[in-house]
Amino acid sequence: MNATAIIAPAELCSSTSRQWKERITKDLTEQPQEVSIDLSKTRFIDSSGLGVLLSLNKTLRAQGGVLKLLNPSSAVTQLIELTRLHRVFEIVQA
Amino acid sequence: MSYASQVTEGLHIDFPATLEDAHEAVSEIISWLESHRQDRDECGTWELVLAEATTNAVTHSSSEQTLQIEASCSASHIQIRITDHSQGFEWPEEACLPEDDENEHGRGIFIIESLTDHCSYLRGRGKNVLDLQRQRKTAPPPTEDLAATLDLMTAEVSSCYETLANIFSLCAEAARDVSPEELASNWLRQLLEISGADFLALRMLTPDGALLEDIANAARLSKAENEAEPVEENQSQATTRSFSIPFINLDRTDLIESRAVTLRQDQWFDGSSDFHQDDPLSHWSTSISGVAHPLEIGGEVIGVLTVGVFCDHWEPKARDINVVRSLGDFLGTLLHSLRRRDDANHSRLIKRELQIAADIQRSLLPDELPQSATLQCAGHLTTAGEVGGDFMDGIALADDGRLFVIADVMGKGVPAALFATAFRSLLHSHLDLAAQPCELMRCLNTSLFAELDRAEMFITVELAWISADGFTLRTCNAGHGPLLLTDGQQVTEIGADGPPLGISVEEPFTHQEVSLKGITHLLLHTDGLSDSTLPEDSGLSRDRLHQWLINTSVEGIDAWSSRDTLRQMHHDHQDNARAQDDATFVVLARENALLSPPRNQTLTHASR
Repeated sequence: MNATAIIAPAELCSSTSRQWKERITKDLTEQPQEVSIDLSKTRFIDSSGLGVLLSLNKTLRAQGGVLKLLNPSSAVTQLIELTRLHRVFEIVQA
Repeated sequence: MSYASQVTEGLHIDFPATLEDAHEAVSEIISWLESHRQDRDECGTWELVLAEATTNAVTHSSSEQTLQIEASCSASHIQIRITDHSQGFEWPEEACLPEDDENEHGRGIFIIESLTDHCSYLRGRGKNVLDLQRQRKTAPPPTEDLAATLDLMTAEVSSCYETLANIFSLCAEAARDVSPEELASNWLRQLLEISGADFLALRMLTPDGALLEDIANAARLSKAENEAEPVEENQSQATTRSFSIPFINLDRTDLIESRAVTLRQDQWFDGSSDFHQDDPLSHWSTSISGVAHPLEIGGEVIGVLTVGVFCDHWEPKARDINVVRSLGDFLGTLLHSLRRRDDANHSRLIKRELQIAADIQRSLLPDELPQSATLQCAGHLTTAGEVGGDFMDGIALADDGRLFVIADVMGKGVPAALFATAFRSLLHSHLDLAAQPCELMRCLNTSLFAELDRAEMFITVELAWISADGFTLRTCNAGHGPLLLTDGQQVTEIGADGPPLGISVEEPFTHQEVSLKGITHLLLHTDGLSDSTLPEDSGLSRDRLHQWLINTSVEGIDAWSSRDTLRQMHHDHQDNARAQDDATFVVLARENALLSPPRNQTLTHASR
């Protein structure tokens, strides 16, 4: 199985998310079947950051792949749950 | 303590409408919140809310426009307003999540409203304001009660000024000629008035550091005492009390004051304290409370000041205790210095007095002793301290006879010197009686008796008259050591035959008449020269003195050489055998010794 792991930045917000999205889109040209985003180092995320993760998730699913969010912090998890995206993302706590 | 109800702090930031500048502005706001004791979770929530809000404002503005953030906090709320100058947008009546979970947009307003307690968007013409509020989760630091603080500071400053003013006054009083005890007593009374205490007691360590001496105390009259002795208006109610315990041992750590000094710590006591029956504090009243405060100078404990009230419990104001401690420490230091100064002055006075007495004693000595064709004489006087009571004289009489006198006034210092002066004056005014030494002695005793008796002093005297031809000796002794005679074969002692002057006015004196034929040497001396109580083999014993005198006679040694030899013997003996003492003697030489030519310096005087 073709899998890729990516470490998310410390802040995933409106001022950083666009650049980060462009960079990983470029890195994922081989269309992996599974992409794991390591959120353990991400202390802050806002709706823009969530939008990037949703976009990535949508793209992978369209390609038959799957996106996993690894070890999000409690603050990030709370936001995901507040916005009910835990129903969308596969969250893995190691 | 109270919490301010109005806005206490605020922060205003203007920034260009870009995402980067908005991010920086939000970071600044979060730092400000952190500095206002908002915890990490609270700051994290506000960071998310402000990130969403500023992103919206930037999104609807052009990059040339400026945005403002105003943050303020009150005791209960944090309020942040974000102002933009865009066309604005329609704020939904009800913020909802996108129907499609996977929609990448449309969650910002939902997040803002979910995480704030109050959220309103005011859309105006060219100006839109988003007003956000959240209750504080962390209480603000208590605001200072300025009035109470001011009162406290005023009391503190007032107590400092009061203490300082009292210290100045204390210094002024100490500069007067007042004893340390009087100074302490006066000041404890004043301290009582300003401290709010009922009693104060000051004890100082004795110079050997073993005892605590009661220096002074002051107390208000108790209620019962007041009723018994009503005080008049303007009359101080402070009094002093004398206890039967002027000293307490420092090793009695079961006594509160001793314990305070030994441990160098304040010792508090109250109605529940178990006082030892010997504790002087328990003598103040059946119920007392207070503190015993050790007094120190540069790490050295010098005494203890105890302050208290006549009741079982006492909660003194900090200001009162500070005044007592500060003034107590200063008073202790001052007393310590005064006592040392007094000791130093006393030592100087004694030294000066002894010097005066020594000058008087020297002035009483003759310049030279009288020599004649039939009699040589040499004398010596050693003063062990500054001055002694020894006296000697050698007088050439009108009929060419000689009178030799050696005396010892009991005691030392100025009193002894004054009696020696009086003795000499009387002696020289009654030289007409010299040939009858017993009459002269009686006259001296009669004249001096009253003064000597009043001063409880006495004088031992040896009078020795030698006729002009040198063959007859008449001697009268008033409690003095024996006069020694030798012919080179044996020593004869002519001992006491009367009491010292000043002992009895009734006692008659007699004299002995001795022929000096064959006698070569005579020795008159005070008891400092020889001590008959010494064992035979130690120092200048009586037998050694006799042997020396015989040898001197056999060898035909003149008076001056004899004097020098005896002086050296006495000196060696003093250094080796016993404590220093005054020693005075006169050596008279006759017959064979007269072959030596006469010398000057017939009288020597040494101070040791």
